[in-house]
Amino acid sequence: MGKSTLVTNSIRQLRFARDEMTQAELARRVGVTRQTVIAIEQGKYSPSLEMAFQIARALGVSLDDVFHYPEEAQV
Amino acid sequence: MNAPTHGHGDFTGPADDEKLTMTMEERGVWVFLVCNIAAATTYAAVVVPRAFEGPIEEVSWVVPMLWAIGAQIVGTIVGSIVAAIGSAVGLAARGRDPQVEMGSDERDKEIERYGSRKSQGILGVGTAVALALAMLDADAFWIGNAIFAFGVVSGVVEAVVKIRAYRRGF
Amino acid sequence: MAKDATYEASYEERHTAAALALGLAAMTAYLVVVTVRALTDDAPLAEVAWQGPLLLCIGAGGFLYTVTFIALRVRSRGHTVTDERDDRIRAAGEQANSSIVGLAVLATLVMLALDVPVFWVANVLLLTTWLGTLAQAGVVMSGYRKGLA
Repeated sequence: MGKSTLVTNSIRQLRFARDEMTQAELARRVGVTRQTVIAIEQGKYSPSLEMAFQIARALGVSLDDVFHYPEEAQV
Repeated sequence: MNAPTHGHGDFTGPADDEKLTMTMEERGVWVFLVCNIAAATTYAAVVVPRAFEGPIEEVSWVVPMLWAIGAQIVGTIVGSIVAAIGSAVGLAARGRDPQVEMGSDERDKEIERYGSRKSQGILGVGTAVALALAMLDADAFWIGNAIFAFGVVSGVVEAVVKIRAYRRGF
Repeated sequence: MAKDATYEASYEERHTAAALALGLAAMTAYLVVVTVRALTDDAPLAEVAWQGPLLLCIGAGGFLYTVTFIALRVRSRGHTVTDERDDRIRAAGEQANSSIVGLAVLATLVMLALDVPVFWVANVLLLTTWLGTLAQAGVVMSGYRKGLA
């Protein structure tokens, strides 16, 4: 299969902006493991819509600020 | 918001990229892989020489196989628990929260499903082979060992698929 | 205002339903034939010739399924046939099946260990495998109708 995703995210930068929130702290707030946060940051895992919203909330921004989808993406 | 930089490596975030520990589930997969291979190897070492010594119908393979299956199950459970305790103690000693490093979440569950789906076909072929052997009235030795062999292979494939999913994504 | 469809079966749902129906029919036919044979010959149940009926039922079921599959495929030519939702529903179904298959394998080994006649071993294996695919189809159908969590 190997479905690669076009979705990118700025979790790393946003954590930095939020008083250098650690991966562990973000994981704790969202209720997942740190490994999962790392996998998402590296584009190795696409979170569910639910988790995506929780991440955005934990970072204090909207979904659009965390996850990005290229404008010219082929559907 | 200024344009976020995508991709990894060029941006340095908070310095918490400490040595990556495995989640409890991933550790469990490793333990299972080791136990699976160890049990199957031991079983083969016991039964194969016997099969060469006398007629196949008289080989006593049942008891070794039950031991192998039992040892594999118990070994996986005990091994996972020991590994979990060990890493919890290690994390606590380094001042990290074991809860955040070791729990299991949506991703673990998805990897679990992914692995069992990917290996399901092998077990399916195994049952078909066992049925065919039964139709041909093969000795129980062949039916039992064929299905056991397919079980071991599918277990190994499942574990490898899951470990790959943990490390490289899926 | 155009009336929107409230429900429409997808390609995958249709062929799963076909597989489910054919699976039920084939298994029923097999069980009936074997039972009749067991009652009409004087040999003990474990010595009934079950191999022929099984091959026949699997063959007939497989053939009909292939025909249905091709027919559905032709019908939905030119459309997007499967998407992300189909994949997820199929995954949930396969998950339900895989645990039952594991159980079938274990049951087979235990029966062989207990020296149960091959007739029983084979038929238990067959029935559990069949139940597994039934569960798979059931989960897929309910995934389409009621949605996935």
